[in-house]
Amino acid sequence: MKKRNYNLLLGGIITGIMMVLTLTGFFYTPFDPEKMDAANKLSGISLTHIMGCDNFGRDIFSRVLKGCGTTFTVACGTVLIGTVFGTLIGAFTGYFGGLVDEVLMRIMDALFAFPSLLLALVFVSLFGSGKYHVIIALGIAFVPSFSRIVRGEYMRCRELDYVKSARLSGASHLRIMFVHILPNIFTVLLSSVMIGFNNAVLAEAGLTYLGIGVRPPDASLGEMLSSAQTYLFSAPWYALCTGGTMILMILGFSLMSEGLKKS
Amino acid sequence: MLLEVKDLNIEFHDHLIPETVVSDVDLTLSEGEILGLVGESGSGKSMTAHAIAGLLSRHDMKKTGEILFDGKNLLTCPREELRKIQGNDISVIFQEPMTSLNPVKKIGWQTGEALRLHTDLGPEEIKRKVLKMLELVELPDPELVYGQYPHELSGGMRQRVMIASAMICEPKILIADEPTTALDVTIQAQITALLKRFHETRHTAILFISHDLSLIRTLCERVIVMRQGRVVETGTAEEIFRQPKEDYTKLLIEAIPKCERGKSMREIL
Amino acid sequence: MSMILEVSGLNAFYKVRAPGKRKKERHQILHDITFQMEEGEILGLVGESGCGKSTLARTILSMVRDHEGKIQCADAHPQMIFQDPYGSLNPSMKIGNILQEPLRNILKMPASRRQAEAAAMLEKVGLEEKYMDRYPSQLSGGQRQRVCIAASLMLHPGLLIADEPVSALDVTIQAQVLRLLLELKKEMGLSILFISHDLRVVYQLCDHVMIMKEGRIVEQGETDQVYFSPRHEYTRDLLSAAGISRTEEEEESGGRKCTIQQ
Repeated sequence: MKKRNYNLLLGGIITGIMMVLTLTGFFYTPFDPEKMDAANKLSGISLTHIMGCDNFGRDIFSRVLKGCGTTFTVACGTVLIGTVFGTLIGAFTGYFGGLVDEVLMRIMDALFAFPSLLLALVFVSLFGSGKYHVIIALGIAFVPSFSRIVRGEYMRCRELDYVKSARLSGASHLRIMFVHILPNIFTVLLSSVMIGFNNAVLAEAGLTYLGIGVRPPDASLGEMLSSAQTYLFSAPWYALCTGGTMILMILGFSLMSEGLKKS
Repeated sequence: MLLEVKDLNIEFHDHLIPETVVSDVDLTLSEGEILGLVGESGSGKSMTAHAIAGLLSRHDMKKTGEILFDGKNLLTCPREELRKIQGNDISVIFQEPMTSLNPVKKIGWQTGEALRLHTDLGPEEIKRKVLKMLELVELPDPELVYGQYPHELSGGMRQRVMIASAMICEPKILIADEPTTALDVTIQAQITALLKRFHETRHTAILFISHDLSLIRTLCERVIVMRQGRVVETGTAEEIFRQPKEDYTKLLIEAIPKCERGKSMREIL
Repeated sequence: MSMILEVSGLNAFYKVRAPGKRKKERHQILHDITFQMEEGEILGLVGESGCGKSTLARTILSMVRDHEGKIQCADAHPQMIFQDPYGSLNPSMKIGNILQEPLRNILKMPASRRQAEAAAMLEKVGLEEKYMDRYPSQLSGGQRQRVCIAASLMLHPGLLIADEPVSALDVTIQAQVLRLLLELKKEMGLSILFISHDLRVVYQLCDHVMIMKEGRIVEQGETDQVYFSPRHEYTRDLLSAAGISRTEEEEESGGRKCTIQQ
């Protein structure tokens, strides 16, 4: 009897649905997400507005679709920056060790010592807020943790016999690092990318909540959640629907990373 | 008869197709006997031994048959009873002396653990017994070793400590799972001699598992040859080595490299 | 006969951090190693764990920087086979690609020729071409070690260092791999430095033997001479621990088998 990998299956389904919704949001929303309609101010769930309307009478479902897109872009961008630079730094420090390792890792430690939100806060207050600045700020904050993970893997791998054989077969250091070793740490990298994605979603929400992230009228899940807070009692569906969407997005990825670890 | 294994089958169910690792194994161990269990990797020899020691408690495997010890079937008896037997009547030495000792506990504590679990002796008495035991396994300075950690000892010394902690409750059966494979030849010879001495002085029955036929021959009275989970041949050591009946046994014996002038591979080929 | 490898007065050092001290100390691993290897010979290097035999191999392959003395190797790219056939093949690379690596990196050979050469070498070590597309995890221990041998021979090296190449294998497989090494040596004119702790295996293969203890070579000579009339105390200890000791008289009278004795 084969055990089904339910984590992977369920995570895949949830993520799949979320991806479809997100992609749809880029091209089509049932209503204009920025069109205000005073008549529908905070109107409840109905057939026309399946998630109701917010305090400006904007269709929440349309804004959720759009917001998923923004949040997704921010999370992906953040993880991309974190992974690329983290892998590069981790690979060099872990593979070569010695002085390169000491210097780079001390810099990483210093970066790591700042809470990532604080780091982003400083960055945004220096260069201004907005989607792309948030991506860069969070991305930089994510580099140290990725580089630590990758460094550890490279330190483990560089002592293995197949790396020695590769050196005897005349492979250059760069080739050993990125052709021989990198594919072997792929699973570790993948699961940390998944976790990093979730952290990025939450960090974006946090930043926006503090009012320094994505700026209105751009919709993002974090931005919507922060404005929904005011109407938690008068229009609970507002917070529930946006929060629920965010939970599903994170849950899907968590389950998938758990499932990938097992397979 | 001290121990009797009847019709032992072990199946793993963690894959698409159930995998049988041990099938229809029968064996008996009399009091004060050294029984050798020989086979290559994947022959099921370790699995059989672990089943006897009660170490197979995973839920994705199926075990059938009987392992009779002292009137109890070790496969089906409740965990409480099994725990009373483990370490007290049956104890095990493993292959890897690096990992079979707990790295954060002192040698003295680890060696005395079985006494603490199975007897009512006070700490003073336990310490005295442990020191005696460490001396018996010929560790150079028992007092010093008592307070040391496993990483401070060499591989051979660690294996001696393993033997000391396995023998401290004076078990009836000692299961030695490739106890010398990870050691150097000279140390190997010393450890084997030590086991033999325990066998002679205390009359402990030993189930000795190895892939090394020459070692088995020097140590064991009776030998069981296993292959792919099945018993291929059983007999006294002399029978097995002088007149092997099965082709596989012959193959194994022939595969031992011979050190005779003019008979080495380089000269024959 | 010309020499493939000449080592003289070799000392090698490691830096180890002594317990309790912050500064690393220079620790001498090899002491005054001197030996020569003729072309086409198999030289056995025997010793117990920690005696420095693997360090010697790594020093010859210039993987240990801190060393003094002369190492003269007639081969530009000496190769090595490692003990653990599970660790020495990259689990994420196909067998074919592993074999092609040296051709690509050192000889800069075009892809089509690499492919053909790799397949030919695979056949030489007794594996079919279909294994080119397999991953190491799909192979048994013996098959993996064959692949390791093939990979080390891709550049047709003059010198091959084999570090315990059969000690992780089952006895029956061991014999097959040893036979393969001997055949390849004859066919390709290889010289092999065969490192092992197993005296019986060394006897099967090696023309000359060196016995190493604590970083020093205590005895070297022709295999039969070292095995049947050892001069050094330590050699005698090793032989008797492995059950190979026998006296001159036994040797003369044809004696009993020394293979398995007690």
